[in-house]
Amino acid sequence: MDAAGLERGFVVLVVVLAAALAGVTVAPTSAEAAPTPDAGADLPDDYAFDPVTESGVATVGDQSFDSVQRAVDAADPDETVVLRGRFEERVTVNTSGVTITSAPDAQAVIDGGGEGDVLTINGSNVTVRDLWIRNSGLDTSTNDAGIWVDAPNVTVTDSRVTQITFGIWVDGVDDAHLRNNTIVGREKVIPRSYRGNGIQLWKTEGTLVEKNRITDARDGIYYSWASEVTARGNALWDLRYGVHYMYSDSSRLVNNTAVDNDVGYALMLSEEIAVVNNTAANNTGTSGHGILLKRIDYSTVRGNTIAGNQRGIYSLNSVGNEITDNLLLGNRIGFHLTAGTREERVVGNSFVGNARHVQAVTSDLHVWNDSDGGNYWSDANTADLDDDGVSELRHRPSGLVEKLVRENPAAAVFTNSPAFRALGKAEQTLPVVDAPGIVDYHPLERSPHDWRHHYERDTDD
Amino acid sequence: MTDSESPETDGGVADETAVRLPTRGRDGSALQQVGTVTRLEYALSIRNRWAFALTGLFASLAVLVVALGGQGGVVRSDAVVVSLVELSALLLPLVALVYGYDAIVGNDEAGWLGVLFALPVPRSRVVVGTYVGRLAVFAGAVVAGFGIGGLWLASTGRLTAAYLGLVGAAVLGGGAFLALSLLVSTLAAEKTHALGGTLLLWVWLALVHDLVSVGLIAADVVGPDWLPVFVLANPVTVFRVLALQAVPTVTGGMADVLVGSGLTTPVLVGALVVWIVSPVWLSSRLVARRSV
Repeated sequence: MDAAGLERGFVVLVVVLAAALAGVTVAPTSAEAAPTPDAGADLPDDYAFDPVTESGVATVGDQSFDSVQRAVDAADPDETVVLRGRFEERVTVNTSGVTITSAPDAQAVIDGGGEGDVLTINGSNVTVRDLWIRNSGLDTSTNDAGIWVDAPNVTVTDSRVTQITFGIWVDGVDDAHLRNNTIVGREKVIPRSYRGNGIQLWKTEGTLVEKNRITDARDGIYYSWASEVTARGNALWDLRYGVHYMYSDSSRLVNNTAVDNDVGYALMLSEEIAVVNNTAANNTGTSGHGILLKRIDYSTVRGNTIAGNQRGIYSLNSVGNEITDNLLLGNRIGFHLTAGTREERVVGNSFVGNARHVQAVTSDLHVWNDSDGGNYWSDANTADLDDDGVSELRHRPSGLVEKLVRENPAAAVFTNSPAFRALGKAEQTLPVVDAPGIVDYHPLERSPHDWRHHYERDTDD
Repeated sequence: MTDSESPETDGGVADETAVRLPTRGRDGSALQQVGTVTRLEYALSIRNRWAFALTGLFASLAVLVVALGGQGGVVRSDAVVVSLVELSALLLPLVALVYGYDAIVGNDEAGWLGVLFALPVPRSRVVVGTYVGRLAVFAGAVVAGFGIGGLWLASTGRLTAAYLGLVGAAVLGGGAFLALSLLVSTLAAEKTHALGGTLLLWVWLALVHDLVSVGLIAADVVGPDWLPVFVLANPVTVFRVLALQAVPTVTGGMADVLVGSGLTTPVLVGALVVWIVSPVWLSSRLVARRSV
C-alpha cells in the first residue's frame, strides 16, 4: 500500500473500530454488577395467616367451656385442654402439668386484645402445643408478652405468636423448651428498639430454643444472665440483632441462620460460649456485623458461613477465642479486630472475595496459623513446595499499607498504584518489614470450604 | 500507486514529494496553518510506522488482558478494566513519552525544524500543529488498540461502560503525557537529554509521586484534605482515578473511595485537559528561545 493509502487506512481503521465499539455499547449489554454471594435462606417477607372467626370452645375431658381460663382452672394436673375457635381473653395457667392444644382439625387462637400478657404460665411442666397466641400489650416497660413463662420445665411447641411486643419471655425459670414456633412482631412499630424481643431468656439454665422462626421483633433471641442454653436451627431475619447475648456463659448456638438483620449474632460480655455451623448473611444495618464478639472470652466460633455482611466478624476487646474453619465470603471487611482483642487462634478459615479480608487495629503482630497450617486467603501468593497443601510463603493480610489506609481512608486512591504494589510485595516477602498487624506464616493452598456454590446463581445466566 | 493517480509524484521519490509543505503563507488563517502542520506530522507518523506500532502495542495489551481475564470461563469485565488500567498506568505514559520526546528536539537535529521555521508560519503554530498531529496518531492508536480488546469483550457480552470510560481516560491521559514530552522536547538541547528527561519524568509520575504523596499525608506533614491536590498534581494518578471511578471498590475500583473528596468526573477530566493545554501552551511560548 502506498503512503497516502496508509494515511487513509489508519483513519478508516480507527473510525471503523470506534464506530463498532460505540455500536456494541449502544446495543443492550447485560451490565455486570459485582457478584454478591447467595447464602440466604428463602425467608418470607410477610406472614399471612387466615383469621379464625368461629367462637371458641374449650374442652377438658367431657366438659366444655367458652373460656380458656375456666377450662384451665377446671383441669386437673396432667389433663389436656383442647381448644377450638377464637378466644378473646388473657389466660393465666396455675395448674401444673396441663397441656393446652388446638383440636387436630381446627386452629385455635387466643387474642389478648392489645393489653398485658396474653398467656401467663405459673404452673410447672405445662405444655402449649399448636396454639396461636396474638395481640399482646404494646408496652415494653411492662414487658408485655405473648407467652410469659414463670415456672420451670415449660414446653411451647408448634405454635404461633404474633402481634406481640415480647414473644415468649422466660422469666428466671429453668429448662424451658421452645421448639418449632413462629414468632412475628409488630412490623409497624418503628424504630425497632421500641419493639420487644422474639424470645427473651432471663436467668434461665438448661433451656432449649430449637427450630423457631423469628422476624419483625427487636432482637430475635435475647439472653440476659442465661447459661447453658442451646439455640439450634433457628431462622432469624429482619431484626435488630438476630441473637443477642449479655452475661450468658456456657451457651451454644448451632446451625442457626441470621439474615438481613443489623447484626446476625451480637455476642457480648459472655464466656465459654460456642458458635458453631451458623449462617450469617447480608447483615448490613447500621452496625452491620455477621458475628459481633464484644468482650467474649475463651469461646469457640467454628464452621460458620459468614457472607455478604458489612463486617464478617467484628471482635472487640475479646480474649483467647478459637476462631476456626469459618467461611468469610464477600463481606466488606472479613474480620475486623480492634480494641485489645488478643490471644485469638484463627486457623482453617477461608477469606474469599471480601473487599478487605482483615482490618486490624492493633500495635502487636498477631500470628494466625498453627504449625501445620493457617487460613486460606483468596488473594495470597502461595507456593507449596513440598505439596502438603500449605504454602511456604507467608501472607500479610493486614500490614503497613492497610494501616495507612485505615488512618487515611482516602489514601486508597494511591494504594492500588504500582509503587504500592511493590511495597506490599516487599512486606510479603521481606521479613525485615515486620510492622504490627496480622501475619499468616502458613497460608493454605486451597480453600477447605466449597465457597463457589454461593456464586452459582451468577454464573447460571 | 501508479503515476496516473498521483501526478505530483514521479514514482521514484514519492515519499518526499507527497508530503505537502505549508505554502499558504500569511494568507492562511491560524487554524489552516496549524492544520497543515498537523497533517504533515500525521503523515510522517504513518510513514515511519509509529501509528501501527502503537496500535499493535495497545491491541496486544488489551487482548492479552481480556484473554487472561477469561481464563476462569466467565470474563469478569471489572477485573479486566482494573488490570488494564493498572498496566496502562505504567505503559501509557512510558509509550507517550517515548513517542513524543523527539517531537521538537529530534526534528531540530534532523534539520527538519529549520525547514519548517523558515516558512512564514509562527513557531508557536508549528509546535501546536506538531502536537496535534502526534496526538491524532496516539489517540487513534489507543482507540483502535483498546477497541480491538473491547470488541472481543463485547463478543462475550461483557462490555461495560467502564471499559469505554477507560478508553476515554486513556485518550485524555495519553494526550497529557504527550504534551509533557513535547515540553521536555522543547526545552532539551539534545535528543539524549530529552530522552533522559522523559524517563526521569516517567519514574516520578508512575512510581515516586504516589509514594511521596501518601508519605506526606501519613507523616502528618499535611492533612488528608490535601489528597485531592496530590491526585490532581499527577496526570497518571488522574488517569487511574478517572478510569477506575466507575468500578465498584469490591472489585478493585474506587467508587467508594472518592465519595466526599470532590474528585468528580468533570474535575478529573478538567484536570487532564489542563495537563494537556498548559504544557502545549508553554512549549509554544518557549520554542521561541530555541536557536534553530
